[in-house]
Amino acid sequence: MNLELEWLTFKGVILRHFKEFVSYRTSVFATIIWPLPLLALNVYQYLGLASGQQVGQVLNAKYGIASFSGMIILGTIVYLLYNRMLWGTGASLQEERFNGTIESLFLTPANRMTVLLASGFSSLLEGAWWIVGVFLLSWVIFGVQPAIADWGAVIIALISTMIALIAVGVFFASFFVLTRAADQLATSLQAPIRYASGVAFPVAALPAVFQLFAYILPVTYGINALRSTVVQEGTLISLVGTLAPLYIFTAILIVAGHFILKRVEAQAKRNGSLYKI
Amino acid sequence: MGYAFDLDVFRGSYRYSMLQTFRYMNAGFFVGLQVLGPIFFLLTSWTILQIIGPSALTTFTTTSGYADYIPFVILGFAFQAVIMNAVWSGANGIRNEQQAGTVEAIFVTPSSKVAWMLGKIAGNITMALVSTSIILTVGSLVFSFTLRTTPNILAATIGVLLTLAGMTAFAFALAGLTFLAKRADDINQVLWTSLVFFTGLAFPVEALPQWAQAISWIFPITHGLAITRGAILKGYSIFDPTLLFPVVSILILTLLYIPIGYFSFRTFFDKARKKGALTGY
Repeated sequence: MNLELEWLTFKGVILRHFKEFVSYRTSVFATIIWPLPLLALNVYQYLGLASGQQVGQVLNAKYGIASFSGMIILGTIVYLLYNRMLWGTGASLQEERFNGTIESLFLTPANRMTVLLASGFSSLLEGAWWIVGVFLLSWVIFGVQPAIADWGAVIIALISTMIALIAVGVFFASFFVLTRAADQLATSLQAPIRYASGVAFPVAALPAVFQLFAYILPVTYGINALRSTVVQEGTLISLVGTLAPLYIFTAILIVAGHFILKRVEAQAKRNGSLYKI
Repeated sequence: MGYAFDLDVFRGSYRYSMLQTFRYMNAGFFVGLQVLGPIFFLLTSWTILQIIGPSALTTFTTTSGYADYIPFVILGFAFQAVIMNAVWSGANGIRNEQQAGTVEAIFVTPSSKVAWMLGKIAGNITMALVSTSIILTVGSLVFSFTLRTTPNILAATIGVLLTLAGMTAFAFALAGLTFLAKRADDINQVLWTSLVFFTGLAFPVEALPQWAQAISWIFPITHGLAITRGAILKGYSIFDPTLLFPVVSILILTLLYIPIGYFSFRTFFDKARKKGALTGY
């Protein structure tokens, strides 16, 4: 592996994605605006049924969650980033296929995994506003005060969640191109994952069958890690139980993504069907 | 070109729209957006109700005037397909043609573009009605609620039809905007979430702050939903004084939005032609 070449590939993909992103003013505008209605919707699904104070009391008594809005905000941030991964990185190879450029991409000597990892990283960069912006909005609108005991734990939880989300994107990119139905799978997965990963409530509140599903989703662990460190004064030690499965899933998804991608390439060489949509 | 030709264009566009929905390429969108989406939103509302417990129903009844939350929310999310139709059908119709490189070919034919667009929207409306029926059936079976009164089906149907007419105007305006803004997906994502928030699908509009309630009244779907909920959950007829405000509002808004939608579509389309931006994506 030539690190200089890998870096060039990585940089090239990021630059390309960035240029594509800023070329459409609507994309930039939507990225800035979208958290607002999503956050409001998640909050008002509760406030339509009880006052903020009542909800806070119930969540604290039943699930030990001290901040209702903090819980929603962190769930929403991770969901937004996951969504960006699903559509940005997950659908990236399918997008190449639609654009008629997938064959050219697979003919270059560039490392496929580097291309996908760079795509994931650029998706995170595009979504970075959400982390800063949503926190600012939460502070201004909801007066959310973070309860942080260990800043190191917050940074590690955030970085680990991002790494896991990139792995999710890489896996989906390979899987989607194999199934040729990226957009449809991404669309179909949005709602079930939003529900099961506990974006709007703790996973413990889900019916048992969905809790089982929740624990195979890296998004669940990402949300838990951030909730624990940002609004529940979690420390690095208390985070181990959440981060361990998060990294296990990250490793599984990266390895699975790598092998599926190899299969896609082999299949393309064998029957020349890569460009087909 | 006469009306017979326009009707042919409408029919062709409608058939194309229906075929596209069920083809391998697009069936997943229907399932994902119009079936799984509302069902999981419904589950979210149900889970939140379980979390808060019985006190939630008291607050809900005081705010909305309805006795049960679950039928209220099932009817709300059954309307999600109508929203999806409004925000996606026209815009996506244009976007798909842009991506396939066929938009110019379509727009140089002598066919009526309005008939063509109406055909696309009608195809989506048909699917929206299918999805609405699925959500109502699944919701009723899974959550097994019982209606406290005999529903007024005629009034509910009028509510749905008026909503569809009002939201079709939105579809036209958005379709026109897609000529210039290109990224229909991004616009739709923001709009869809905003509409679900403002129109009271998951919670009573009365729970929103005053300024947000004022915004919610500009959407025909808010009034359509009030009519349909009133008709099904309380058995109101369309002439019931309680439904006077939503009925009059939706009629006025629809009459207002149809020409606005049409002229927005024409304006954006002409602008795109002048800029040579019709095919660019």
